[in-house]
Amino acid sequence: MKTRILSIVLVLALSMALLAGCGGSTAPASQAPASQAPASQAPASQAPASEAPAEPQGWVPTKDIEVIVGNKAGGGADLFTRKVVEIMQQYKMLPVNATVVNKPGSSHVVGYTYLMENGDDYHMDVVSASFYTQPISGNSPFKFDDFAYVSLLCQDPNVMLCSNDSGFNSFEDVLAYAKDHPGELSFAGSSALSDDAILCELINATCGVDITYVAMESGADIMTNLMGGHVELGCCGPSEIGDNLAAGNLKAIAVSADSRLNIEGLKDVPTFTELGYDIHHQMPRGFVMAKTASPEAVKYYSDIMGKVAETPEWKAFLEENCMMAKYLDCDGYAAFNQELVDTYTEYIGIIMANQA
Amino acid sequence: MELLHNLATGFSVCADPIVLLYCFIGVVCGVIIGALPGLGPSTGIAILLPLTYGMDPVAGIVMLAGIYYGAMYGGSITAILINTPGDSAAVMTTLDGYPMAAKGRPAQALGMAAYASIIGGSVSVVIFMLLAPVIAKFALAFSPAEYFALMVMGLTSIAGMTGDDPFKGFVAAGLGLFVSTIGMDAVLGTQRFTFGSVQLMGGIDFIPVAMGLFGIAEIIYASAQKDGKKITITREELRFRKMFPTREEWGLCLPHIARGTVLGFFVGVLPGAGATIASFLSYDLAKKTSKRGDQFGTGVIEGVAAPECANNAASMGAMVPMLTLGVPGSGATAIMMGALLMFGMTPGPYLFDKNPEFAWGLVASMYIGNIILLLLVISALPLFVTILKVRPGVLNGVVIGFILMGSYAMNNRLFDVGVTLFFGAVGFFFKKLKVPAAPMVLAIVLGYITETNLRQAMIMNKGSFAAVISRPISAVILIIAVLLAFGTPIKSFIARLFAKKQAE
Repeated sequence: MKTRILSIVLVLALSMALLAGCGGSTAPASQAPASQAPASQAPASQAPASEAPAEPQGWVPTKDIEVIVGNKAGGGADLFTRKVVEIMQQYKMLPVNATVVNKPGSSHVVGYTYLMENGDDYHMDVVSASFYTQPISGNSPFKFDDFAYVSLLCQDPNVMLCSNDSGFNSFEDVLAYAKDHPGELSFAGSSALSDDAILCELINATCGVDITYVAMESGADIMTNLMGGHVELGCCGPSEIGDNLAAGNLKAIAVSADSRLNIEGLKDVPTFTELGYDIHHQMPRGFVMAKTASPEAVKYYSDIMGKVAETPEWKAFLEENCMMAKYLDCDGYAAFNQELVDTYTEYIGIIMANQA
Repeated sequence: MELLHNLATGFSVCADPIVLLYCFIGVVCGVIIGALPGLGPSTGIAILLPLTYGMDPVAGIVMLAGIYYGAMYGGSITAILINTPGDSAAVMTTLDGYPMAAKGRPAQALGMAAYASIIGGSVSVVIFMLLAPVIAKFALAFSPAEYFALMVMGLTSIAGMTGDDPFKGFVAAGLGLFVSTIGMDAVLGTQRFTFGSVQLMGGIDFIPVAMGLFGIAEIIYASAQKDGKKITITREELRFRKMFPTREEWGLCLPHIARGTVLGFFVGVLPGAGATIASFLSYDLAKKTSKRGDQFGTGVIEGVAAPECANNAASMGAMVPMLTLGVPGSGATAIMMGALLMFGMTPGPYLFDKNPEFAWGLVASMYIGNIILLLLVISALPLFVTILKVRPGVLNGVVIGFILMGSYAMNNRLFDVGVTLFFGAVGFFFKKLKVPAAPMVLAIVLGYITETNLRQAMIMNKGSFAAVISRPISAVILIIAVLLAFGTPIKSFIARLFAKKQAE
């Protein structure tokens, strides 16, 4: 009798462990739309799905698609990708299934390696800052020519913050102090080769000051150090600030974006461009495929992404996560990409030269 | 008075049977997942997160919290019974728990681990309730300089784990420090010891290493023994009274539990330092302050109580920054914060004001969850112990299967499985050469954090090391570390001075 109970318990445990093994990447994506569709807006979700999916003429996928995310489940790139896939499935834009595959490791490089190994028409990978920083810093074996650019969907603005202890109230205060005291101010950002580091270098180069960059591990570390007054300046995405701005735990002094942010608490914060400095560096988010994919497939996905960008769910997602919409199709992105590559190359080069 | 009113609101929210059901499910699943070697609280929460989509927010977060502290206890089950920690926070429990089981007292060890966990958890909830905003300010006062000091104090605790031959312990720690440097450096982004491998660029995670060093090595070593020493349990031993520690044992353990809970809670509050570091520090503190300090490692019950209460207290502590500042303190709380955002709650300074029923419901559920854990343990402890009756061949096979599955599930890549197997071989040689493995795990966990924080602190203090160590909090912590490290020789030196004086 006892061995019976034990074996039942062990079998249950084994099946749970099996769930662990295969449930990691695909389960949330496939379960979430199924459970949310009836729970949220039951009648409304049927009506807009009348968009006719892929027309018979032109290339159409015939196998299931894999969308690769080079990060763990739950991270920014992962949530972004899952939302895109969810909307595509909700509106039945694809005649096949699309699954999200997580390949974390080495800041997305493992993900791009996996993309290159399966460089056909059915594999896509999500783009974030690491796509640009890793090849330039020599950490990734791929070059920008190895990829086919599908589309850009949005950009993440950066908010420059300062601690309450620093006594600054505006960007001008910061610059005035920094010009008189070179090398004294610290600027916290996440990781050494990131958009935050580039923003700091952009400020140094454009405004002629010398602010020291301190690399932290994550948004959480930046926030705690700012609120604790250990660094004077810092930078993070608007979604990482939470309620701390409203609670008065720190101040926002400038925004690196194309226009002012339409987010609670940040509407009064000027952009760098308004202040007279040509800084509008943001993190791009989009999708790429391997160069070996056919141009028709790239165009097909690019059009689908365009449709995703028009949906109300996507707009709501962007607003919730404080991302700025910017849709570029495959040709537009390929052109814009050159600008991005130039900016990243220049500033990562400066950062790496400073380290030597 | 307002506090009691808020708590009453919380309990009324929890009185809903659905919430209680999910609390129960969370705790039970947490214990099982924690017990499975290789799966820890973060993996457990990540796996069961999809179940919470579309659920009532209170029920969802109560379940996730239940998984968190259930897993902290669950890890100790396999740690005690088969010397394989269920997660990294249970590594210290193996040091005294398994020897106790080998001596024929597994039920007492499991019982004390449970009671220490529950006391640690419950007391931490009280501290949380009374002092949450103040504690949040305390967490903010820790800059990288203070983290560096804390990690140095943690590294001094290695000396307590070296067993008979300190040199071997330091060799293991040195190897651990080396392994922690592999990968991309956090401050400058340079690659260290990656040999061009994309996989190594991300560094080596300590959980697969701990699973390999402790789990796989133990299984291989035990199988290689000629005389299969099986732990036999008689029916007599499984009676309830035996599992409740004696008065004498309570007297020995309670001071350690008290100290361990406070220490564990405050270490858990600091973002970045979690249950693993809390259990290391608590074990070391217990060893240094106990009268039976030199017997630690041979199977003393305080050595089980101290780390267990600390890791549960740390899991409560990790929720403080998450709920009050919106800053996740560890991997598991980061996932929980994602769940909160999904439910539409904004964790941060206004959570308790904007959503009082939710926040206080969560706090109240932690009390209830600890009670459920107690009931579960009392009823299921004999069941846990009967795991030992399974034939070693079958048990070992199942455990290896879980370990490898857990290593893969962390990052969905076979590289981690390879790491586990490699360190399993390394651990086997360690056991043969009688090199202790715990210092290596500690060094891997702490080495990276120590180095990164030191460098960040020096950048922030413009390259001045003196400025780093003269900040008030870090100076105090470093002095404590020096006292802990050199305390015993200084004490005996002073005692000898006194003896000389008295002899004159």
